[in-house]
Amino acid sequence: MSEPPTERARLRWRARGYLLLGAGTALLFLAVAARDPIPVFVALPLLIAPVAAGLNAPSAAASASLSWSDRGSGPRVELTGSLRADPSADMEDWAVELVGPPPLPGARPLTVDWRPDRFRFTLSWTAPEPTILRVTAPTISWRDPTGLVDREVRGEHPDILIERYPPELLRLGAIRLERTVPLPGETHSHQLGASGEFFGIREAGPTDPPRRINWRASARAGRRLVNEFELERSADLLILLDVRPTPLGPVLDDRLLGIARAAALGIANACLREKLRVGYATFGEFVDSVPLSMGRIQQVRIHDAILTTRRAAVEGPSERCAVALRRMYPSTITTLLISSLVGESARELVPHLRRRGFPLVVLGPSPLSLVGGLALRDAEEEALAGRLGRLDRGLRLAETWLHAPVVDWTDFWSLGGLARMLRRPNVRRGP
Amino acid sequence: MTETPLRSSRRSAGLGATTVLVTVVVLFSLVTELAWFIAVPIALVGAFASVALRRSRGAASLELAAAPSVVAVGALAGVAPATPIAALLGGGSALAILAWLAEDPTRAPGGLRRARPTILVAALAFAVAWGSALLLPPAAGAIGIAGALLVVALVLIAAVLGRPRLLQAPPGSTV
Repeated sequence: MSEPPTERARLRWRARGYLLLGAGTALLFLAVAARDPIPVFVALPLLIAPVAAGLNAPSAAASASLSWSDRGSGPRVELTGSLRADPSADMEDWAVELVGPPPLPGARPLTVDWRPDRFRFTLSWTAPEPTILRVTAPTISWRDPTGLVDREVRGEHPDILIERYPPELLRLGAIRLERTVPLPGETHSHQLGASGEFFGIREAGPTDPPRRINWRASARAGRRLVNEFELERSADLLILLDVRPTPLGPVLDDRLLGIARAAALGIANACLREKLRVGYATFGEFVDSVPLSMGRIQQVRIHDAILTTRRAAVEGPSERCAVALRRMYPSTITTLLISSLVGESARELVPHLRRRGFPLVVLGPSPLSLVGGLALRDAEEEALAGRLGRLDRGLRLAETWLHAPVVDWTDFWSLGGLARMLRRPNVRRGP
Repeated sequence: MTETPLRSSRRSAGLGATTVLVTVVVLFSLVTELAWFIAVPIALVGAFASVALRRSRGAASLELAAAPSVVAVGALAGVAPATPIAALLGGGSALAILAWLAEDPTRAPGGLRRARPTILVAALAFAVAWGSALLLPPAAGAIGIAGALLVVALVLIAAVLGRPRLLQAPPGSTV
C-alpha cells in the first residue's frame, strides 16, 4: 500500500534570488561581448547559489500552529504570539512577516525570540483613537539561510481583531432606555439582568458589581446577596451611523468613521451584555440595517455588520433614511445617531428623524480633534483660526440641539458625556 | 488597508561577514585596470550602500540590499584584467556577497553556519573553474568551463539521489 501523498507547498525564489540570477546572466553576456573571462568567474557563484539553495530546501511543507493575542490595554496594543512546529522541527530557518495595519504610531519593530523548537514574537503600537482593526495572521515560511528561496509553512493561522473603545462603555449597560411601547399592555421579559423592575434577591457571584449588592439583605443573611431585575424587553436601542461623504474629504471621513465604528461596537456590546435589544443601521446612499434582537447571535451579527461598514461613495437624501428606518423599526425606539455633523445634509438628518418620531441622541465625533494646526506662520493667527473653528462647530451643534441632544465628542478616549446623557431620560427626548 | 510589512528587530549586524565583503571587494578593485582612486570608491560605495540598505526599515530595501554590491562587483569585473588573481578575487567577491547575505541580522543567529551547503556548492564550482583555468594551457580554457559544469551536474545528481522523494512519481488515480 503506497503512503499518502504529502502536501507540498511551492518553493519560491525570492527577490534576492532573482537578483543574483539576473546579475549572473548579465555578467555572462558581458563576458561573451567583451571576450573577457573574469565576469564568468564572478557569475558562476551567483548563478549556482540560488539552485543550490533550492536543493537545500526541505522536500515537504512544514506545518505550525500559531497562537497569538492582544495583551495591551487602553490605547496601547501589544500583540504577542508564539509559533510551534507540528510535528516538532528545527525552526531556525523560519521567518515571520506581519502585514501590519496602516496607522502604527509609536510602533516598535517586530521582536522575535528564537528557540530551536519554537519562537515568540511581539509587536506593539499605540492606537491614536478608538478603533476596530483586523490584523491578518503573519506569513510564516521556511527560508534558506541566504534568503534566496522560501516555502510557505502550513497550519492554522487565525487573524486577530483589535478592539479599542472608551472605558466608559464597559459600564454603559446600567442606563435605562426609553420604552419602545407604551406601558399598558407591555410584555415583560422572562430574562433577568441588572436593570428594569425589581424581581428578587440571589447569592452574589464573583462577577457581580458592588452596586448591585443588597447590603441590608446581605447583613441579615450573613453572606453577599444581589438584587435581580426583570428585564424590560421594550427597552431597545438603535445605533445609526451616518456614513455619507462629507466636505472633510475621504481621509478624515475614514478616520471619523473608524472612531464611529469603534463607539458603535462598544455601545452595542455594552447594551447586549445587559440583555437589551439592539439594532444597527448605516445610512450612505441607502439604509443597511440589522433588525432589533438580543443575545450572542445578535452580537455576532452587529459585529460583522460594523466590520463591513465602509464610507459610502454616493450621498443619499436625509429623508430617505428617516422613511426607511420608520419601516424597519418602531418609531419610539431610542436612537443613537453617530455622525460628525459636518455638512448640511448630515445636520438635516436629525430633524427628519425627529419628525418621524424617533427619540434621538446624537454623538458627534469632532473633526477638530483630528485636524492639526493650519501651519500658519503666526501663532496668534493659528490660535485665532482654531478659535473660529470651535465657534463654528459650536454654532452648528447649537442648531442641532434645537431638535435633539448632542454630545460633542472631542476626547475620543472618553464617552462620559454620552453615558451621562443616556442616564438622564428627561434630556434624552430633547427639547 | 495598505500593506506595511513589519520585520523582526535587528540584532547587531553581522560585522564579520561585512568586513570580509568590504576587504575582498576592495582587494578586487585594486587589481582592476582602473586607477585606485576610482576603483576603490566604487567598491566602497557598493559595499556600504548594501550595509545602509540592510539597516533601513523598509522590506524592499532589505530584500534588495545586495544589489549595490553586486553592481559594484559586476562593474569592476568588466574592467579587470584576465589574470588568475583577478579571477580569484572576482569569484571571492561573489562568494563574500553570499556569505554576507547569510549573516542577516533579522534572522536567527548562525546563518553562515546553516548556509554552508549553499555556499560550499557555489565555492566548489568556482574552485574547479578557477583551478582548471589556472592549471590548463590557455588553448584548453573551455575545459575549465566544462569541468565546472560537470561538477554542478554531479552535485545536482547527488542531491537528487540523496532524496528519493524527488524522483517519486505522483500516485496514479484508482479506477
